[in-house]
Amino acid sequence: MNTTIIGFAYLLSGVLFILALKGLSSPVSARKGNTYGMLGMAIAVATTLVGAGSGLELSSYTNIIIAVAIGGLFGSILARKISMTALPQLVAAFHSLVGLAAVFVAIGAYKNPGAFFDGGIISTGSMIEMSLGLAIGAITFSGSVIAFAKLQGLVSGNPLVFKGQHLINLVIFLGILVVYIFVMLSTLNIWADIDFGYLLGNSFGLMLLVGSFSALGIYFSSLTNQPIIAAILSFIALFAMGVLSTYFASDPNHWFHYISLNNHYQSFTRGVIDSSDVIYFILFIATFLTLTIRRLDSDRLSG
Amino acid sequence: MDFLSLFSIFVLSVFVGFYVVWGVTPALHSPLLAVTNAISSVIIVGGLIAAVASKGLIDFSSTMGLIAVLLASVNIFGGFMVAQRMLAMFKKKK
Repeated sequence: MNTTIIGFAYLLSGVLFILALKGLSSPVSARKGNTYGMLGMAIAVATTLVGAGSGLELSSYTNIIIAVAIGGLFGSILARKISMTALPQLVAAFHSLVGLAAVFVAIGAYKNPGAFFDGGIISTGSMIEMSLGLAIGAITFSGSVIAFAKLQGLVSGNPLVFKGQHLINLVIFLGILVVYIFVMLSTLNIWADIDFGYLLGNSFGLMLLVGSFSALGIYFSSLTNQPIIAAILSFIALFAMGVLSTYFASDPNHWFHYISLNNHYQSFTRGVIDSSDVIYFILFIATFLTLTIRRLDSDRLSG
Repeated sequence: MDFLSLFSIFVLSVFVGFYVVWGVTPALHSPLLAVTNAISSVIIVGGLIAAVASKGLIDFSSTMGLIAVLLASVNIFGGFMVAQRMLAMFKKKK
């Protein structure tokens, strides 16, 4: 089937979805909106089947028809039989299935890229998109399960809090990032030789640099109540620390070269981890954090 | 499609979603949620692509696709029906 026609059909179903949501905003048009939604979904499914399966026999659709029939029957029965008061939690339960479906689609696409991408090569952009799809799908699933449990009264309606929750959230968030980076690098590694030592050294240096910038920024933020002033002060200070050493470039022994953050970062960019640079960064961070703590303490004790 | 066009679609759809849903009467929140949920099962398209790709044979990828199709179709049929029931209730009250 012509790709242009497929594109237009998808566009049409997208427009119908928008009309459906818009229709739901007023009681008069709400039912019409629901119909638009169904229509849009039917067009999307039909287009995909016709478009993706061009040149296939009917038998290749058998599995799909069976899957849709089982799912549709199950969903319809649930939606009809359940009591009115239980409808909100049913919506939550249904929604968790969407999250799960997204997870399975991402896995399927990863294992068989030929079906989803031209030439079967997953570009970095698609890789990021797929990773995000996987994570969002999984979050949708677990979030909906909790929403269901709350609406059903299985879990109390109070916000779920536990000790160290923020810490765990932070660790999970960073863990997701690390896994993405790892997956991307190992995908790249198939085609290219990656110097991991070089990469690690660079990231380590960058981390120290970011830490130093943040420490200085935090200190200046603790000095004033005005965010703009803190931002400008930090910016000027960091700019001075970073760039002024080029101003003194003619005199290689000038003391300023020793305090310039950029100069200490240079060796990391070459993949060399020099202990004197590491110590400088750590001292820098520790100094400004200590100053910040002193400053905040004095504020608290006097005020 | 290149990154920029995909990203433009994403950004524009964020605005569409925001303006379409903004200012809905509180009484319609539940049905709106139900319809939004039903529409989100458009992920079935991804499942169909994965399921069709193996041309009728069942391999790992198409199994994943079939599971996705099954789960999403529960939500398509159930979701729209739930929305319909909610709206019917709403009409009676008016």
